[in-house]
Amino acid sequence: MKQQKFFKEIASDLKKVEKELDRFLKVNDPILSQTCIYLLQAGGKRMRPGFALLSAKFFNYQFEKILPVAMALELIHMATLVHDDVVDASLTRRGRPTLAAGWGNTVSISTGNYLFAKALELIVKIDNTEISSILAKVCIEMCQGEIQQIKFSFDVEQNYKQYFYRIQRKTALLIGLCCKLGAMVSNANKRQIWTMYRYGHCLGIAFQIVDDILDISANPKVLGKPVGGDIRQGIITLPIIYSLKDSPGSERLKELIGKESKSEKEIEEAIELVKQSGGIEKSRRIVDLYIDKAVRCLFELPDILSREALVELAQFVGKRSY
Amino acid sequence: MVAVNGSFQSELYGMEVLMNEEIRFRSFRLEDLLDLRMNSLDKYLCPSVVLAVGSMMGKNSQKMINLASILQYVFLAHYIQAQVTENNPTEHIRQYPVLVGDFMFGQIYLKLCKPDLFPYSGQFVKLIKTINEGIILRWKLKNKNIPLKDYRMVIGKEKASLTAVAAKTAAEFSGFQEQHLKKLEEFGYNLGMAWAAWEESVYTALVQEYLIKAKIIIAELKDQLYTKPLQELYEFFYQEININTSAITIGI
Repeated sequence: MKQQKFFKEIASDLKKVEKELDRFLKVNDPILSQTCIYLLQAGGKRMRPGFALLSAKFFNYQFEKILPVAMALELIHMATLVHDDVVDASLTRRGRPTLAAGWGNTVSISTGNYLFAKALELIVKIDNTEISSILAKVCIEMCQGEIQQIKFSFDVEQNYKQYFYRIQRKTALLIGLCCKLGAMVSNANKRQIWTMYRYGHCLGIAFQIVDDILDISANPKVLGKPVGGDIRQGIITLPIIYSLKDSPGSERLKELIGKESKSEKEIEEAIELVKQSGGIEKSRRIVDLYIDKAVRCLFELPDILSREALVELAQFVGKRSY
Repeated sequence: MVAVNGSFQSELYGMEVLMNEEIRFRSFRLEDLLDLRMNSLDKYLCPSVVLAVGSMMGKNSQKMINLASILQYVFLAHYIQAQVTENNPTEHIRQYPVLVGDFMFGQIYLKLCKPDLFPYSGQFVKLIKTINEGIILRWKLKNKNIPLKDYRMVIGKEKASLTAVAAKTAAEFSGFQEQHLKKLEEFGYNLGMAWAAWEESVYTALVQEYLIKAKIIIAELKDQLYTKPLQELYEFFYQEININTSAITIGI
């Protein structure tokens, strides 16, 4: 796993987070225990706890204090993934059948809710209403972003502002929050907390744009899933917005993207039109801008190992091919 | 329009206004996303339990109205997500309920962050877990004839836990003594059991059984406490189930 390279400094603490999550999710109900552990064993990258721990390293790092925050962040992330799989009717995730595929929608939704409740259980233990309320607000905004995405799917008149509103909520807020909370529980001052949040937020924006680019331009074998998923679902991403705005094939692209039911041939045609329009290159330039912004934030902070790791992580996000 | 007549009607209206303001999805309202056909019990029973118990000690504060809205959010989150089945005919019937339900959970957490409500968070964690254990239990028993004992457990977890916590937290909030607190929690539980049994009509005798139990509690508390709001709540419930079915014959 490539991420391990960036998290080298906190690897032993991340293992402890993993172990604690495993212990915490062994619950009384046999089905819920089984589904929660199944999700945990699916082995996500644990990016969110990783961001929180690395951010905390800049300040007064106390693992016991950050542990419940890191666990809560991962549980919220896991809950949203399970629910996303129901929303998208996804059958596989990380090469394994989703809960929805194995157990069905009812069990998946209940497992997600149970994970939300477990996250709240940890948040209560933190006993800090400021942290709790920031987390709650982000949960609300994430849902608003997802709802907005569905509501505006197939709407080819979408603009940049609407796109950034969505991806900010879908991805950037939670990554920003991980960094922010890492700093907050480690007694960073207001300016430092803001800096960490800004880093995570910019990185999150870049991450999502790269995701959207890869959905059009990646090698499906490297990506691990077929390309064109967003086009199929009518999700209007940045490369598509650029292509719809000013390219010779924009009228045909509009027609293709706006169709609720498309053949594989039409999806391929739409992908080609986006590639030819230069939308991918323009999106890449935006990614570079955000990566640059993220990295610049870090130079306000002490030059320690974590800073190096976060810089490298940002550069990796900008250049990743999967 | 609030359907409950009684001491806490204005507070219930206040809660409804508050929730309408909170449930916003940028340019959309709840009705734009979901076709909710709720009856008066769905709309008002949970918060009414909170506000009725609160009214027993005088006028409800804003704090109590917030508590009532949290209970209604817990109900709504699960009610809305229950619309998702294994074979929903269209994507939107599957997608919006999941996301709107999650939005409701976010609202629950946000409200619990208010310093005066934060101490009750633990009870809500337990409640959400219990409800979902109930849903899973029902799922395990699907396509089977559910024995009465198991059915009681399912509806107890899924629904009566909600009205029981509504009564209990409101009683704690209002400063009731321990012995009354237990009785009020029991009252909420019985009302919830009757509610669930009435909705499904699987074991109709249960409706009468639990309504009688709830009524006995009101009678027991009558000499010690001001019980008019509980009586009004009971009457609202009774009236609602009789509007929708004539099978129930319990005297008020």
